[in-house]
Amino acid sequence: MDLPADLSLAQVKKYLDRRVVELDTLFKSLAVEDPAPLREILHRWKGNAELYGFRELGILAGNVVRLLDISPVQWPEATAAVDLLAREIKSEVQELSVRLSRELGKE
Amino acid sequence: MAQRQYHIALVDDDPEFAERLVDYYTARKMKFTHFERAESLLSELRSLVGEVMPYDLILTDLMMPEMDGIEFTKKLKTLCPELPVILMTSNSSVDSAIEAIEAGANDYIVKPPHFPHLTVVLQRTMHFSQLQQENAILRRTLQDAQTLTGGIIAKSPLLLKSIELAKRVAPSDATVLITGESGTGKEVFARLIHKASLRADKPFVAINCSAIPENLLESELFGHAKGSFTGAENARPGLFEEADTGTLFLDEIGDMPHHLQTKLLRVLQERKVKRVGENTYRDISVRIIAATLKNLGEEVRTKRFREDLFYRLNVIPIRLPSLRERKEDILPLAKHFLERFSTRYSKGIQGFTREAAEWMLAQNWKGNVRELENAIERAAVVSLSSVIGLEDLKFEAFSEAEFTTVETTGVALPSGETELSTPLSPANALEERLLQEFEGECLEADAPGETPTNRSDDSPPSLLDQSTTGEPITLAELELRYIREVLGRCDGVKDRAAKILGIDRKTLYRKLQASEAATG
Repeated sequence: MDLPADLSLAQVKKYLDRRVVELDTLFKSLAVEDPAPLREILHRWKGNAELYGFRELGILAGNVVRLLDISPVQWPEATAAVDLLAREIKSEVQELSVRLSRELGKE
Repeated sequence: MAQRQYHIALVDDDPEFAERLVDYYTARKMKFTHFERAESLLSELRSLVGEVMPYDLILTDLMMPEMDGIEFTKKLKTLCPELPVILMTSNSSVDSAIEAIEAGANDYIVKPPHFPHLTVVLQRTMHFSQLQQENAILRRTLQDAQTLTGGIIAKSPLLLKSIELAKRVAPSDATVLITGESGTGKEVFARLIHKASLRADKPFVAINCSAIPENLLESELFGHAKGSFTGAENARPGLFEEADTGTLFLDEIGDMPHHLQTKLLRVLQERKVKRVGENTYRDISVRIIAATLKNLGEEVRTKRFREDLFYRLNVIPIRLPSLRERKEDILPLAKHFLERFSTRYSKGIQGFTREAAEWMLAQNWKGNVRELENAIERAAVVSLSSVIGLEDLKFEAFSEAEFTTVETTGVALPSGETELSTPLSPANALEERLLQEFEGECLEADAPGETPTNRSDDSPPSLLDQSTTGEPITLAELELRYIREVLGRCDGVKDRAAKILGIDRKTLYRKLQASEAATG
């Protein structure tokens, strides 16, 4: 995470919390092999993640979108790419929790 | 001029992306308005066609549900071709870039944007667009300068000189003082200067300093705070603020009260304005054009006008000649007004009789163009013919109380009226030339037997020459001719003819019977 200078940790946390909620939708779409919701959600992540300090997340989202654009969609590969994305989010959430605890400790 | 805040419309279906951009740029003095759907912005812009666009630039995403960025840009460019557009594409392929530019976008950026890079692209695009708009204004101004006299009818060298000076000073922000008699077109000139200036698309606000009560003039000009005086229920900006970035025309500046002259001087010096009842100053950028019919130099000498203000205003003095000093313009102006009023009143009037044109050239026109305009309007309204005759122009004199009868001719003349005693022939070579220039354009063709050779001695046609037999006509015959002429113009309505002749209806009948009996 590369926190932009004009953003607070609270704003970043809010952003990540929303992604965690959307992860659930992503896995449900993978389960039924429906590419439309995946494409819509991940296209947004690709466009906005870096603005909130999550450059890596944006790149990974872009990778999944590219896989979804190949016809026919290779679902095992797409599922593996979304798994990677989920792990990235989990790791960012952990890092953010540490930083938030430190911030609270300072106060 | 204070740097204004840019206003950008952002079209993107991702609210988190928009939120981030709005937050980032709000802190950097750029205003963003977010639209999740392209159609919402198009609807707003459609409702604003013909008005000032609230946005300086459109920043739009390429991939959106319902309407994508390419389709949106195409629609936008047909609606507001001058509004710059930047497209955001999610990949940097050459194809997307070409597609974006072909659709009419001014530039494109790759999403997610790097903010400092986006800032440069936004500023560069808006700056370029501003230059394009200024260029368009300059082209228009240049075209006007080359082809027109700014809508002012001018053949007179004196007026052309004033127009030339006005155009030369227009692009600067220099203060202009226009002097001239009432009705010479001082406000028309002020508007010409504004239109030819770089402030042409900004407000032009005019105020007549002598038409507003002294106690109201101050708040009218400078504005007031809420509760600053009885009746000031709300805060109100003054005309200086309304004219900010544009031009303020102060007419009849010579009538401005002395204490307001002091306040005006301060505004001109400091370029700041303070509302009545407030302590804070507001920056303004206003070009001042003042006008007066008074001799301000004389007003300064007699201490009625502040000398320092006079010098502040008199940076570029422009004097407008009176109509009698620009006789070359009388007939073209008359023709212009006649066309306007003939159309307005559906009269189908084609022009003037030579007599009427000669009369117009011989007048003093103390009320200048305004008086001429009123005279032509009145003539167009009362005229019963397809040409304006002398009697139409002099119609205002036809009030019964003012009538006296000229015994020798039986022709009724208004008392105190001297124009008919003035020779109707051209007074000098200039007037003759002007009449010749006007002939064929707007003058009635001479009737048979009334060729210019009859008038070659430049004297009015003698009544003695008007007999068809060559013998001098009798007084009775002349009276009958005149009565018939008036009757003809009144479409045979005897009541009206009697009124014009200054006699009652019975007398008219009697005269007609007697004259007809006498002439067989």
